[in-house]
Amino acid sequence: MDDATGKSGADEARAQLSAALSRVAAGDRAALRDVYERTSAKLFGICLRISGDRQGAEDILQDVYVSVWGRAGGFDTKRASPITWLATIARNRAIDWKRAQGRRQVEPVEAAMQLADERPLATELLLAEEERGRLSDCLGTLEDRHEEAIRRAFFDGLTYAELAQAMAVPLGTMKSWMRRSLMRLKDCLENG
Amino acid sequence: MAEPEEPATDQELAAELALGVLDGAERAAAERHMLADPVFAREVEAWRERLGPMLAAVPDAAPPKTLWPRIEAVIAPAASVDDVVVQMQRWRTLAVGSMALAASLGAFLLFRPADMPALQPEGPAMVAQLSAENAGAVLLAAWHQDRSVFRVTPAALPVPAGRSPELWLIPADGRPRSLGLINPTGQTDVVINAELLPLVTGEATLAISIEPRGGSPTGQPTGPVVASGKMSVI
Repeated sequence: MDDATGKSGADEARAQLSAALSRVAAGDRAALRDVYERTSAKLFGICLRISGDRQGAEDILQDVYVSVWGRAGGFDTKRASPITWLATIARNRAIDWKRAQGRRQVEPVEAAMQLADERPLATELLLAEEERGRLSDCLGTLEDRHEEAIRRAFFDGLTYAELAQAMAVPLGTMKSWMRRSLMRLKDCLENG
Repeated sequence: MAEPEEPATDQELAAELALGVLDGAERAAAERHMLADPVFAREVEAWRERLGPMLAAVPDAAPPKTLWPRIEAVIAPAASVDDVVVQMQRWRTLAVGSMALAASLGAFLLFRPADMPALQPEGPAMVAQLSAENAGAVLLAAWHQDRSVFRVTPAALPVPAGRSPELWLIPADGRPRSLGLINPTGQTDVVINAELLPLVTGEATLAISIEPRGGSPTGQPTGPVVASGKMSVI
C-alpha cells in the first residue's frame, strides 16, 4: 500500500461502505449493488475458505447478501469496520452451512485456496490494517498449539469436542487452553 | 478420574460463543444467556469484532458474474401479490436465509448449527422471533412440545381492515404449510396436527402473511410476507 492509498484512503473506503449500508437499511437496492461491488470478492474468498466448496460458497454468498438486505438496519454506522461486520456474517453463515452438510468430507483448505486466484478489487483498502496486524501479533504471542486451536476453531468451525479429538488432547485440557489463550489475547489487544 | 471442570466466567463464555467452539447444551445455555443479558450480548459482539480481523488474511476470490443477478432476483419486489413464482422464490430464500433477518436475535442465531437436535427431552423446545425486514420483532412464537402448540404473541402486527394474518411453517423443503390464522392483537395457541409435527424442527422458519379475511384461498401464501423468523432451539 503506497502513501496515496494509505490510512486516509482506507478511512474513506470504510466511510463509503458504511454509508452504502445505511442506504441499504433504508431499502435502496442500488446501494446493495454498491456494497456487493465493494465487498463480494472478500466475502466470496471467506465463503470459499471456510466451506471448501465452490458451489456451496456461491449459495452462501447469495445468502449473505440477501441477509444483509434484510438486516442492514442492524448495522451500527459507528462501528469501526463495516467490512469486519460483513466478513463475520459470511464466516458464520459458511460455518452454519458446513455444519448443515453434516461435516461431510469437503476439499481440504489448500484446494479452496487455489480457487481463490483472482483479486479484482482492492478490498484490502477496506480492512483495518492496524487491527489486523495487532491481532496477528497477539496471536503470535500464544503458544503454538494454542494459536493453532484458535485458528482451527475460527476457520474450520471446530467445536471443543472436535478440537480435542483433532489435536489429541482431553476435552478439559482443550477448554482450559482455549480460555486461557482467549483471555491472554484480549489482554494483549487491549494493553499491548 | 477426570477433574471437575471449572465453569467458564462470562468473559470466557462470550469468547467461546463468538469463536463458535460451544456445542449442544453449552451453546444453548450461552445463547439463552445472550438473550437475557444485554451486557453479555455486547461482550459477545466485542469478541466478534476482536476476532474478525483474522478474516482479512483470507485471499479475495471473484464470485461468478451470475451471482449478482441471482441476488437481485431474490430481493426484487414481487410484481403483484398474485405473482406466486416470485413469492415462492422469496419464501424459499426466507426458509434458508431468514436466520439473519431477526435482527435483534441475529447475533445469537448466526451461531446456531443447522444440525442441532430439534427437540430436546427437557423441552420447552424452541422459539422463533418473527421480524419485519427493516424493523424489530413483530411477533414471538414459542413451541410447547408437550402440547404440540405454538403460543403466538404479537408485539406489533398491523393488519389492514378486512384482512387476516396467517401463520406459516416453512420446513427444510421450502414449501409453506399453513398453521392457520392468528389474533393480531392477543395471544393465540396454534395447535399443530400430527402430520405437521415432524416438520417442526430447528430447520424450520415461521412467517406471517397478510391474507384475505378468512385466510389464504389457495393453501399457499398469496399476500405480502410481513415477518419471518427461524426456529431456535432454546
